[in-house]
Amino acid sequence: MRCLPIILTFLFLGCSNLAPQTHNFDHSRNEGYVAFVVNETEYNTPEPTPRLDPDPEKCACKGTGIITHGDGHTTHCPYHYKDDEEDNDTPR
Amino acid sequence: MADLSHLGGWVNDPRGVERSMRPLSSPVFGDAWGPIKDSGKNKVCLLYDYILQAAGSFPIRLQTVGDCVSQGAAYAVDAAKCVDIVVNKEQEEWIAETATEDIYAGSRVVIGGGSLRGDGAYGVWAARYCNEYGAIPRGKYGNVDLSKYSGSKARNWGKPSGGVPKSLLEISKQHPIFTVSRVDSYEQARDLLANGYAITVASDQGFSSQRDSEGFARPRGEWAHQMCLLGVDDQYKRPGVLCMNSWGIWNAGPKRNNQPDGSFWIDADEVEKRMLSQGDCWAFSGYDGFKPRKLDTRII
Repeated sequence: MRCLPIILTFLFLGCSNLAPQTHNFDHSRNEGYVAFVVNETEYNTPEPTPRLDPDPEKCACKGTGIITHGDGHTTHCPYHYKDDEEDNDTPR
Repeated sequence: MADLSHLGGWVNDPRGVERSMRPLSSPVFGDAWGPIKDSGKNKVCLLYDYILQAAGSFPIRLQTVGDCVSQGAAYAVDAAKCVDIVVNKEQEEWIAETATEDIYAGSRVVIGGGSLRGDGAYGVWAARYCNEYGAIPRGKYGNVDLSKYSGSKARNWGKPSGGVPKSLLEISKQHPIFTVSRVDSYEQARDLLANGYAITVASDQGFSSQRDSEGFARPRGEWAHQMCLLGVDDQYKRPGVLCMNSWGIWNAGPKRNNQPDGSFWIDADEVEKRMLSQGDCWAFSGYDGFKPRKLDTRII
């Protein structure tokens, strides 16, 4: 309890000394730093889609007949898609 | 903000497109068509061949995230710069294929204001970005390395809190596409392509992965996707346009006119009815390219 007045005094003095501060920083250096961080950070990059191949093991579809592309679209593999019914198109 | 990630790469929002095209100087090509109307009739013009001539090899793009809008736009910029070099004999040089990460982020954040969550963009956003802020070839720009495609970098820069590094914008602004205009019919597309202007095509129309005996792909399924038209053949018994995709070598079948891997021909009536009619397909005019530099190679 004896320390309390001292702590309060320092707290008061500390608070009263908090003058508004202007933070100056080098914008171009900051920009470069941000770019550096962006370039160096490793993200979970999906593996690029391998090429089509008549060999199901080497083909992008892995023999399933369906290829999923980087943006989520799926297409039929021209080598391994079995059912060639192409009639699900809607006339427009 | 709506979560549109399920829509893939292109966001189908006709009202949003209409709003976004207002600031353009020539928003609709139909109004400026007169001087070149019918100039592409019975003509063949293969812009991909100019890319091959200028670059030495045709760049086959392979997107790994839903950034198709930037991939299609980058092909249109590639074509514009190669037409300048090969046909117009302008004092410019091919450096590398056009980078996509900055176009994707610029479309979503600089033009679109960070209004979309998930992957994707409007076609008009990419067209406007290339027009207002330019496009640059792959390479290193100070601390920013765009020499190799990175889908994750595109996705991160394209977040609402992301954007294009300012240092890159300053460089990019020096290399704009002069004009972008919306294309609404096959005849417009034919005349534009025949005059060396590539066209980005955004629609929800999908196509078969099997080309037929004449190199055409049949409309099939739905893709929320942007690609690029890089050729026209109005002379052939079956008039059509060459569409370049950005999924690597994803299709197979016979080819015509030495078309690139990953591409396919679309019948004239199909491209108009199923793609151009959706109102987010854009012609890219000339490009303020890179002037050849004489390097001082003396060893001091």
